[in-house]
Amino acid sequence: MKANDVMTAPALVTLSSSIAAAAQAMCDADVSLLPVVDDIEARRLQGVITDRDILERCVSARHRSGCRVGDHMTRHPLITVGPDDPLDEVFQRMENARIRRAPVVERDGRVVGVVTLDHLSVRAEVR
Amino acid sequence: MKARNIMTPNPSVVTRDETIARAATLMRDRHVDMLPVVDDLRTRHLVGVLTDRDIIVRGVAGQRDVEQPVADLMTARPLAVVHVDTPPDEVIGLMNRRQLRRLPVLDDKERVVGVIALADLSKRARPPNAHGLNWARPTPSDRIPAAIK
Repeated sequence: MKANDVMTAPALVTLSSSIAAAAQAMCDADVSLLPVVDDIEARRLQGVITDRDILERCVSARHRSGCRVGDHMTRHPLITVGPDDPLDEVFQRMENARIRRAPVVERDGRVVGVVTLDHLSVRAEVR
Repeated sequence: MKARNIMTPNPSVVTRDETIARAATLMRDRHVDMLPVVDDLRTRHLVGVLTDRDIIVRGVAGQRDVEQPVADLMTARPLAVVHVDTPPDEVIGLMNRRQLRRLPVLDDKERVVGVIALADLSKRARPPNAHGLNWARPTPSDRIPAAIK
């Protein structure tokens, strides 16, 4: 199995999306990580933003409305996987980086999905 | 084995009138994602729970101000709690039914004395690496492996 087989279609935000819009997108899609792209059509990955980033960098810092995703997202290190990467490699990379979720990115930089350890573990058990 | 042996004792708590920003700071600094909300820091009677997700969904997405009180975003009823003497399998059953990964633990006087997490239960209540998966992480409660149900 490859990343392609277990990834989910991602909800996306752009650098200029508001933090409130990102939080709403996380709520609607029931996810806690959103890939951040330059443009919704071009879908080139610029960073990722998690619910925890919003909590720790925006709410804790007493920022009021007006923050943009680009202000609080993580740009580096940006751990990604390719759609054709075998799951063993995906596990290992996520384990090494101590992350639970990673964007799936084509060679040309386009975001095509998100993999999470929860999805991986459930589907790996039925392998 | 009881909840008291597995829980994290003396958890960070907030009161209803503390601000969302203060609760978020506490979650950040203590590396927790749920805070019991108490009536008073001395008596520690539980009146609600606040999760990091509540802050994102009800607070940030709802465009609430960060200086608003915790009471506006917390879940007050119905609260899922366990007693210090609850056995682990009952704790897991409740987490599973209510789709929760963390619960406040109360003593005989209904004071908040701990927080118990699904991760604590799987770490301490079953042998490590029971599934031969060294990357095992807490799974959502609806997907708890049969081995620990």
